Formats: sequence, C-alpha cells, structure tokens
Amino acid sequence: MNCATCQELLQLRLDGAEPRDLAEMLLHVQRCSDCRDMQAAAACLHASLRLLRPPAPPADLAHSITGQLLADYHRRQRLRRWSAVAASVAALLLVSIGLLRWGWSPRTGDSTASDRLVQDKGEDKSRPEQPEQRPAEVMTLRESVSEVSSAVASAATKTADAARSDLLPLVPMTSLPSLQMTATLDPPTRSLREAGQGVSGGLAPVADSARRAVDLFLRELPPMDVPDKAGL
Amino acid sequence: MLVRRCLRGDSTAVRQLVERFQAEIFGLCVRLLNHRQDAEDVTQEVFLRIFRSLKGWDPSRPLKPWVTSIAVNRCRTWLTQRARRPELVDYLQDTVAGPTPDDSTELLREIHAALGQLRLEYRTVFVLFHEQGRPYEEIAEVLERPVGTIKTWLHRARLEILERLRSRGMVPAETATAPIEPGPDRGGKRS
Repeated sequence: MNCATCQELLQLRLDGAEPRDLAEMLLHVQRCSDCRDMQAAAACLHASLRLLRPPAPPADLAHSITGQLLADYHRRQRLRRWSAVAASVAALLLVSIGLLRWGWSPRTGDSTASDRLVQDKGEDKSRPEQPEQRPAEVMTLRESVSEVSSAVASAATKTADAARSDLLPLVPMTSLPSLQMTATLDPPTRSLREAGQGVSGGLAPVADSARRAVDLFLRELPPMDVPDKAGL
Repeated sequence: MLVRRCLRGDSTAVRQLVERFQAEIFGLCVRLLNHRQDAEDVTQEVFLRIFRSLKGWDPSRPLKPWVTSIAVNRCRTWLTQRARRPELVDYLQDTVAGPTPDDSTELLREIHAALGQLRLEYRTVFVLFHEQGRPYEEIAEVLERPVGTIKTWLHRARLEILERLRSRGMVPAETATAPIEPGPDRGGKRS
C-alpha cells in the first residue's frame, strides 16, 4: 500500500465507511511517519466532528421572518390590484386613441372617413372603386381636421358616459357631474390650431373619466390588515 | 400541501415553512459567512426569495435541496458584495454551540477557524456533510455538481483542515498511533 491509497482510506473512514484494507492501512501507518501524522490528525478531526453542531438561530428569528413574508405577500396583492386598475384605464385611453386614429365618424358610422382624405398630389387613381364607397372627394385640410375633431369629441363623450355607467353601481352616493360636451364645432374656416384645440378638448372628458375611475377604486380598496404579531 | 397554503397567504403555513428550514439555513449561513449578524440578514433574504419563487418550484423535486440551493447562492452573492465593501467586518465571532469538554472547545475553535479559510465550495460541502448530515447525492443536487466532484471537494477540505491542525500543534502526541474508530452510520452518506 502506498501513501495515496492510505490517505484515500482515511477519507473513507471519515465518511463513516469501513474500508476492507484496514489491516493493510494500519501496517502502512506504522511504517510511514507522514501517514502516521495524517492519521493522528484525522482521529482528532473525527472526534471533533462528533461535537460539531450547527449554530442555533435567535429565538425570534422565525417570528420576524414570518411577519416580513406576510407583509411582502400583502404588498404584492395590492400591487396586483393597482396593475388591474392601471390596465383598465390604459385600455380606455387606447380605445379613444384608436377611434381617433381610425377616424370614426358619429354621423354615418362609416369607419372610412379618413380614407376619404386625398392629398392633392397623391391621389391613387389605380385603386378600383368599391361599390359602397363614396367617390373620392378632394377636401381641404381644414375640413378634414374639423371632421376628425367632431368624431373624437363624439367618441370621447360616448366613452366617458359608458365608463360612468359602469362605475355608478359601485358608488351609490357619489354623484358624478354630467359631461357636457359642446358637440358643435366651428365651420371649417377655423384655423388649424383651433382645430387641434378642439381635438384636445374632445379628449379631456376621457382623461377626466379615467381620473375619476382611479379615485373610485382608491376609495373602494379595503384597509389592509397588518399581521397581528401576537397571534403568530 | 404546505406550499399551496403558503401561496394563498396562509399565515400558519408560512410560519411552518419558516420553522421547518430556518435552523439549517441559518446554520449554513453562519458557517459560510463567518458572521452571525450577516447570517441573520441573509437568512431573511433567503426566505423572501423562497417565498417569491415558490410558484416556480417543481413539486416533483424535493423541497429541501431547492431551499438549500437558494441559501448557498445567496451566501455566495453576499460574500462577493462584502468583498467589495471597504469597512471592516468582525469575522469568526460566532460561538460554539452547546457545552463542550476541556480541549475540545479549543479544537472546535481551530476547526471553525480552518473552515473560514477554505474556499467557499469546500466549506459548503464540509458543512452540509459533517454538520448537517446530508448525503453526497443531496449535496450534489444542491450545488448542481456531480457526486464525484462533491467527494473531491470534501476530501480536499478535510486535508486542508488536517494540515492546519497539524501545523497548529493541535494533534496530541499520544494520538499519533491511535486508529480512527468507525463513525456513526449516516445512512446514505456511504460512498
């Protein structure tokens, strides 16, 4: 037996196993001083390992950790509710913006209102006429903006009214101010800036509705229970 | 079942989960970090991570190795961050648990000191095997290494500790020829 094998067997004994070549190992240890010293150290280590105990945690550690975990759990629940509210508000805004983008017209329900906008030098004559489409009309920019403004204002009004009717059952005592929208717009002779202001004004009720929705949810949220430390 | 109740926010279940693993996790953290206060902080962080990751735990796998793996990784990160901090930290301040006779206290102190000098991997394997009584296979699962690597790391850890004991004169002359008595049967620990 050589020193490497002898040390492997020492390791095996520290594992708690009984090597088959124990007698041969002991013979080698008697002859080899290095292995003899190693065996002595291993014997000390082995005796100490029996006394090795994991450090005990503080008495209140479990209580402290439990409280922290439960507080974190309730915080994440609240965050989930907030996310749902924010998603609803965002969806509301996206619908309004979508209606603006598609140029929805309240007068005819025709979603192709923006398609009727033809630039002076970009008219596509190769596009075949659809049977139900109006013939392409050349509109001034002012007329186009005016039409879009009225479409947005009408859409915003309907959206805000729908939101209000959804929220009203939750707040029986709250009286929401009625949304008065001036749907009448100036004739197409208005400047582009005024037309843009009209579009912004049309979106204002939507923003107001969204703010009220957030306030209602805030009021409706139940108070969070702080975990009772005495009960844990 | 316990995990499902924890995910529902059952405070009793959360308490049970903490009490089930806190001793092992705290003990491991103390040994790996060599600092009791750091070990308390890291133990809290470990449980927070466990709780937040509980949804992703695979129920077909045992919970204990998964929990231990999180603790080891967190300790590794903490040690890396601590190495970057310039402030002095009072290491090796933990005390030996339980009453010990005579020279054994000194010997244990030397072993703990030697443990603190080991590489993190060697120290982890040594603590899990000798202090917490985990089998090779479970340690291999915790550290995501082959069993052969775990054995090699443990053997090297022992050799370094033995070398330190010899160099520090902790080996009494009368034990020079004393054979090692076979250790207690630890079941799955046998290689």
